[in-house]
Amino acid sequence: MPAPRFSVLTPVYNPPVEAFEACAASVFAQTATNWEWVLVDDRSTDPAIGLLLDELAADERVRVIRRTENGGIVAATNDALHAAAGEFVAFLDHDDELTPDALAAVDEVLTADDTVDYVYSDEEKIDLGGTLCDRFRKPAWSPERLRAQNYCCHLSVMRRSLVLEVGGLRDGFDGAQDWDLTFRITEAARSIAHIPHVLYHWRMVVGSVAADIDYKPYALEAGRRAVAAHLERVGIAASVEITEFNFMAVRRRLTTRPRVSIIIPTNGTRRRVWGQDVALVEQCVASIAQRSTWDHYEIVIVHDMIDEQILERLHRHAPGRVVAVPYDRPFNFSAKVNLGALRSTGDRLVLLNDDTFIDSPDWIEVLAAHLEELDVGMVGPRLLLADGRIQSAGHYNRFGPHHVAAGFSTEEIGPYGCLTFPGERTGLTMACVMMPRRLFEEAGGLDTKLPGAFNDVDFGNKLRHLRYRLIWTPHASVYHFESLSRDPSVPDSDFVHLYQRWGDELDAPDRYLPWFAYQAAGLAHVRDEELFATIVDSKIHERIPGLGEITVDMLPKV
Amino acid sequence: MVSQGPASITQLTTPSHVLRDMSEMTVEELRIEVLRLRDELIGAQAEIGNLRGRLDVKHRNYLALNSVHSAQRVLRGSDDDYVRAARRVLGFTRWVLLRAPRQLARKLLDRG
Repeated sequence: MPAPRFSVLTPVYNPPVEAFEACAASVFAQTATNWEWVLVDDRSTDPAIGLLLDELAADERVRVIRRTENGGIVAATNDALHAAAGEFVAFLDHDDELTPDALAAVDEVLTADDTVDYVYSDEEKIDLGGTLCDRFRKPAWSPERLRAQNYCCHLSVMRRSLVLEVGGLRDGFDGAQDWDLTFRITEAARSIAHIPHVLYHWRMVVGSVAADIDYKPYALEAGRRAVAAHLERVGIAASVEITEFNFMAVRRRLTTRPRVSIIIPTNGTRRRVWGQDVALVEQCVASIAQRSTWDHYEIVIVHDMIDEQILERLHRHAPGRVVAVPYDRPFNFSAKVNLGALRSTGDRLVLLNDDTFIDSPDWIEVLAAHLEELDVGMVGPRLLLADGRIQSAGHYNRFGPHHVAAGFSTEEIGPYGCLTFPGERTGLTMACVMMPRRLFEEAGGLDTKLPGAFNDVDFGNKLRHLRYRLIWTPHASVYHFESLSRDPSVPDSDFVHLYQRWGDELDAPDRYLPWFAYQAAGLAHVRDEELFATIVDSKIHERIPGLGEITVDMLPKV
Repeated sequence: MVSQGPASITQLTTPSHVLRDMSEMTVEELRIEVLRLRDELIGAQAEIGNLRGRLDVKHRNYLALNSVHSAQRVLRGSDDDYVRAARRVLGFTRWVLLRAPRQLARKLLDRG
């Protein structure tokens, strides 16, 4: 008999009988046929479970292994793993359920690409009353986010040979053994796939992590150690702390001393900020010089129509650091930035608007530390409005690019905590970003055909096109008095050019924060997303003044 | 920073990629030109990918509705002016851009 494609692995220890029956029913309801189910009874004391296991064992696709002593979830799962014969193993807890198409959907992905070693899917919870709730629409593969949160979790399907190669589940990580295994698998996997559909129903029972992580405090500490061990293996110098929201905060240490060039295009605009009439660029440069703890930097001012006295004052604010580059052509933000980059000397470029004000003293160190990972192309801080609300937490796509969390309080943690930890984004606001010089050049700098708006969206897409990740971090904050220094309106030609290049991707659900607006509006439980997206977008538009209107031709086909 | 919706499909066919006369350019202007051409190259690749995606969708839809013979005709672009024009423009653009950076590099080297 040929080996099955999938081995579903289930360690069993005194589950609620009804939940276990539902779990079994979900396995037998699979539309795929090439599977086996390996159950390891970890010395359950409930006789009803023993009887159920006997009944299940009568099916030829089911194997029941009975341990002679209780060993915990790690030992039981490893027993199941070693008994499994399938090419891939799927992890199913004894009180959870698979959707009927779960294995078939995974099989489709694995058949389409035989380099995929790990597949994870979206998940949904079953509350104590048996109702589906809390639908988690997960991001595409996001290693940075995984360091803060075990977002992959259920359903996880891994190539069995690779799981054995990395040593299976490890002792000492009880409660976070799956997170630890996910790290080791993804470090070794050739490719990783995400299925953006719910394939797993995670039951909330009293005492389970699904109901409340506080029930298992040891799991948090095990998680912290799993993250720390992963960082050590991949060579990231950092410490790991548990946050007040029970996520992990990875505090990176910069191990190199790069020279940083801060490029600020300006025309010397004066505006009223925080009750004072100021030259924006002067305030910006003063905040850099007075607040930054990093000292290996230059400030390249690309200027036109600027008052000579302002230039003199800039030199006084940051003596020996200011490089003034005159620009004598019609306004083009992209061209000014490109010129500044060519005249700069640092190997890290910071693109900074003149209408900004540095909040976090260690902002350069925080941003630069992320760039020590070679596949990180650009990193941006949390941008704040003058009143302290969030101006941008990166970009997400939904009928075009939007700011993530614009107008939100900094107290809001966002859907699944995404505003509390660094994570991948489809784009970053160019009011403040840092990138390696070589990538700025590799990507061709900013597109001068986008002189005002969307050059950041375009540049972010170019970096992702070149296979680099963009990281947003809340661990550094910069005030951004958006569009104070220029006209915020966007000409139609910019839209045309942007859509010409990136087209459908801008309208599709976002890769890293899918349905962000939808989930942020508290509608995560709504299942018909296409229908309700319109409502949510309307809510977000009400919340953030100045956003455009949704037009009929932009609506999804329902 | 919010889109007003997708561009009209008829607006997407304007070629913007033209090699400029570089004989009188300074080194800094040439470096900027290198940036521009790299930008154009990535943009052209993205556009090609975008169009390929649309062609795939078109292909799938057509196959679902019509005979294989008719579908092959659509793929050749014989009954779709937009696809035919876009493919011609992008084919030429890619041909130019794939060679341009090397030409520029040679010029930079020649100037020391």
